[in-house]
Amino acid sequence: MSVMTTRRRLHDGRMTFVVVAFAGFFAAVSLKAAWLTLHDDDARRKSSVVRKDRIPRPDIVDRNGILLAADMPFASIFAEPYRMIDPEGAVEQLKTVFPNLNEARLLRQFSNRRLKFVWVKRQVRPEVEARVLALGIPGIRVMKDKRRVYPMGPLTSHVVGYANIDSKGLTGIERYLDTSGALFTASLARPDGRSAQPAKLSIDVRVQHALRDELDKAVKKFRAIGAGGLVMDVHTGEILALVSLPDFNPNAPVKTGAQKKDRLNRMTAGVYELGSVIKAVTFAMALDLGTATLDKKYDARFPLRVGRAKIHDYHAQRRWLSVPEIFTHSSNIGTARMALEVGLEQHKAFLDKVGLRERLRTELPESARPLLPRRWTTITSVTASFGHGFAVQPLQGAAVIAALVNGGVLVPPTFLKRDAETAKAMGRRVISEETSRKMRYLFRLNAVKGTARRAAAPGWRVGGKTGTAEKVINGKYSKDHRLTSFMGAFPMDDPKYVVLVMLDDPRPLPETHGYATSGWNAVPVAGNVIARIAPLLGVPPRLDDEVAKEELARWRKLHKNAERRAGAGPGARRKQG
Amino acid sequence: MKSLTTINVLLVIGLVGFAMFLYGREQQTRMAEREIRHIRAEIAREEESMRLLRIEWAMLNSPMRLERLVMRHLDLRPVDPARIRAVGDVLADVPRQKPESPAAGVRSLDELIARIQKGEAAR
Repeated sequence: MSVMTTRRRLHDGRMTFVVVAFAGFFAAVSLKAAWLTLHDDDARRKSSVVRKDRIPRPDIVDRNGILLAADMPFASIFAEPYRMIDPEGAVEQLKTVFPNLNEARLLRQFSNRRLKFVWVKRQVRPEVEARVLALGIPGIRVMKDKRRVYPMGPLTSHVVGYANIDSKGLTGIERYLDTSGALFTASLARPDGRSAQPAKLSIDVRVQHALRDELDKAVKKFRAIGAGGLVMDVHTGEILALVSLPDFNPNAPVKTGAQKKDRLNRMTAGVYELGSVIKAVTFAMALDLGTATLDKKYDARFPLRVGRAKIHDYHAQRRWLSVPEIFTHSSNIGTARMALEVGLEQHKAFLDKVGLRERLRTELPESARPLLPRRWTTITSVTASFGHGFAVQPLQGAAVIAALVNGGVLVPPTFLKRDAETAKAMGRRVISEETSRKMRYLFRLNAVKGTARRAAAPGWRVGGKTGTAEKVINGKYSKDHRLTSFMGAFPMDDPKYVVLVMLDDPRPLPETHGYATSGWNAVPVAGNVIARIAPLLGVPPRLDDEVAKEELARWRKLHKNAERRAGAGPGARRKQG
Repeated sequence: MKSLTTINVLLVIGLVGFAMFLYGREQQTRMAEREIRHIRAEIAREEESMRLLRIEWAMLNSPMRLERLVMRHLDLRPVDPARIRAVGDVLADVPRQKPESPAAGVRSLDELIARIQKGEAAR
């Protein structure tokens, strides 16, 4: 009896054990099955592609949609030897994609089970990446990353700026997109959140190239330290081209010295005495306020005494000069008299009105404050009237000149594409239409008879004002080192574009008869620029008057000389060959 | 009692059938999902290569590079401003043709078109 019960108990115990064991086993299997079915494994961990997520930066394009900056995707292939099953096989398979692989090294590394990470090949093209992934080798994975590239290289370096490795904008528009332009950047994002529309700039790469090329030649020819220039639409304030030399290659900013001091953007981050170019502002003021008229004459017989200072003329005429004569001879005395006549407070108020006394802000983060004497006295008013002791951003000067010729409306300059209506709404009248018409006359006269007559852009009715400022070296004005500039617009009968060319310390040449003033360097350079860009911008030349014919003859001579200087040229080579 | 058994059997059969149907559907869904993943990856890859090609295109068309190539290989020089004319001006300069010529012009134009079309076809 007791034996039976013991046996029975034993039997029951076994049964329970078996049942529980089986139940447990099935439970485990079904749980695992349920886990695998229901739990969505993290796709990233399963995938053999590692993505480095970066904030998408919008592409930057010019006004015609040409790519100036873009994120370039690239893939790098790496191995995780500790997860590798068959190192020899892996190397063998990789060799089918990369024939010249260092076999021995990879085999050694792959066989080392403690190694966690080995680069196989960095920066490969997408199709190569696809082929590697198709091999499906365990332990071989792909890392995706992006790099900012600038297809135009140094061409737009100062406008577009550059971003660092972490995709953070450091200078130029790239910085604008991250900082003050963050709202604009956000407006470009597409609903999917992964991509963005490109940021469209006002720049035209064709114009930009023409300007940069001519400035580059000028720097070499006149052995200048640097140069700068810009082209701006007078009605919309859009900047079509802005160059500052020396520049850098944003694809390798550190190597090409982007952070060096002389690579600053001379057009916005530096302030310069534009010299006589500023006289145009004084003229517009006097004409607009009615203190001067085109036929009024001013005494320029003797140097003008203001307090302890004496105002001289460079090309002293020693006679009474009419207003147009003061402009074309660029007489300091005459201009000073005009400013004195307007009066101290009125002069200051006008400079405030055109915004020359405050910092101009555009999209570019690099902007400098104008340099003016702190106290506004008679002598500062007089020297400021002809641009002495009065330094502004060249872009700021260009914006004011644009207002003087476009009918009298000051439009804030921009580096982003802008339509005519927006520009109209932003514009602010600073002088009357009538004054603007007179200014156009003076500018054109100066290019026909005055200091700017070497701007030979035949038939494009260039008008403008030259400026030659002595550079301040060791706190003193230097007689031998100059900053020459030309500020003009074309076509002068209905101005469309303002052109500014500035050369930093051009040297005199035998060709310029030992002169190094603006008329001998900045003006011809600007003429070349205009003759190159006007056809691109759709401004037809008009060659029916005598002046234009003269200009044409000069232009032809100039180009013949240039060709001769360039040697036999490609044509001759081809004839030989 | 017997009908209960029949119902039971039917229920079991129905259950098995339904299970099979569900299993089939799930498999289909999985296949479809996998396909979507593949296509998405392919689209991403295509987008990337488009991006690369666009960058390459911009680099190759950079005005600095084009000018360098033109200077080296072509015999081009800046256009003389006198050669820039409006279409109207050019037409005014063309010597006036004889009155009979329009018809001839049309005929030759037709011929030209025919020739071009033949040429296209041949190519």
